[in-house]
Amino acid sequence: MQENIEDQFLKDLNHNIGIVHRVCRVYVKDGDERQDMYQEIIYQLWKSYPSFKNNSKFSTWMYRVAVNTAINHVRKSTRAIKEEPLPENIDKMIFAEDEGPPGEKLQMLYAVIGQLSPVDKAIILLYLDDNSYDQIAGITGFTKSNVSVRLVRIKKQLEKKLKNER
Amino acid sequence: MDTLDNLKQLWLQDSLETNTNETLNKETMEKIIKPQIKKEQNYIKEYLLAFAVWQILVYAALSHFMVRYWADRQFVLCCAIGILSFIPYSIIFHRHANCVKLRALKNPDAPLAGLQTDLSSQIKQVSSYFTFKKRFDYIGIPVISFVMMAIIMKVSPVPHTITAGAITFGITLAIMARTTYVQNKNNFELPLAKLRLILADLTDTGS
Repeated sequence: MQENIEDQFLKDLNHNIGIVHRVCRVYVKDGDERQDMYQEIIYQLWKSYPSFKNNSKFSTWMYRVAVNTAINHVRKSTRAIKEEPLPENIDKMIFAEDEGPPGEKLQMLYAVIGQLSPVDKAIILLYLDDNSYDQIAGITGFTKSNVSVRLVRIKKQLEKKLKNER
Repeated sequence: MDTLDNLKQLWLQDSLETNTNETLNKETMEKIIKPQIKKEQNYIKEYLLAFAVWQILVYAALSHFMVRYWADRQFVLCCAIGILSFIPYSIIFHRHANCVKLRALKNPDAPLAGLQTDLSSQIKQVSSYFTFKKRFDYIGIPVISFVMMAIIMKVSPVPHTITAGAITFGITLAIMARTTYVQNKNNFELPLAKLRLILADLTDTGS
């Protein structure tokens, strides 16, 4: 990669680095494997950056590469993916308005999202990151109406998972 | 679902903090990129080396036996059939290896096409090669087993009887069939099933 392109890449990457962390956190629970995925995503972004044309926002392009790499990583992973039970009182921890520190609530939310399918994880991540339905559709390849339908289903699924723990 | 919207606000606040807390520089990038490049190059090297060694072994062994037992026309014919039946496999495998090499080394925009397109193209690439390989296996395994049986009968002290030939052929065929079954399952069927599951999830309208 040429030096000026690399500088620009670093600038754009640092501005949006949280996307990589959130994608990794949503897809992988284990610390070492999460680090592997983080490095793989950074590498894929670095490799693909020279072909990034400013047709879309950098963050939109970054989501696409990161989610794609994460799904492929999960597919290739030799480690068994098991559905772990959610912690007790998760509903209270998440839904209580004034109880519990925000970090703990988020941790619980990640635990619930961790139980979704790889594609549903991508959609809820994009939704929580405040992407519009158009942007989610552009990243995942769904139509806007499909995104809408799937989001309703995912939200219901999340709610159900939480209620089951009560 | 109001609660999820509340959590979304927490999520966004946390996202903002993560975005501003970390800065990658050229040194840290180098530490991440170099091992990844090496890993990818090693994978490609191993893949291509295994391919080349396997092909060389087959052709060298068959050619060697052809030259060594040139006077035995039937045996030479067996070896020639073995070589001829392997040529289309070599060509297709070579093309497939090139595709993998190109994808890994020369096509940096591979992940940019969107999830569905990328997955579909992966499935198409793997399944087209797998379809060819299965067809080749149906014809190739008995032919290669027969050639191997001929070689074993020729170079080992196995008695030259029909029963011994049939048993050798049976054992060779069983070993080849079992190895191919396990190889196909692990390298093609399971990865394809995983890919199709993800694609099915992607194409599901959610209704």
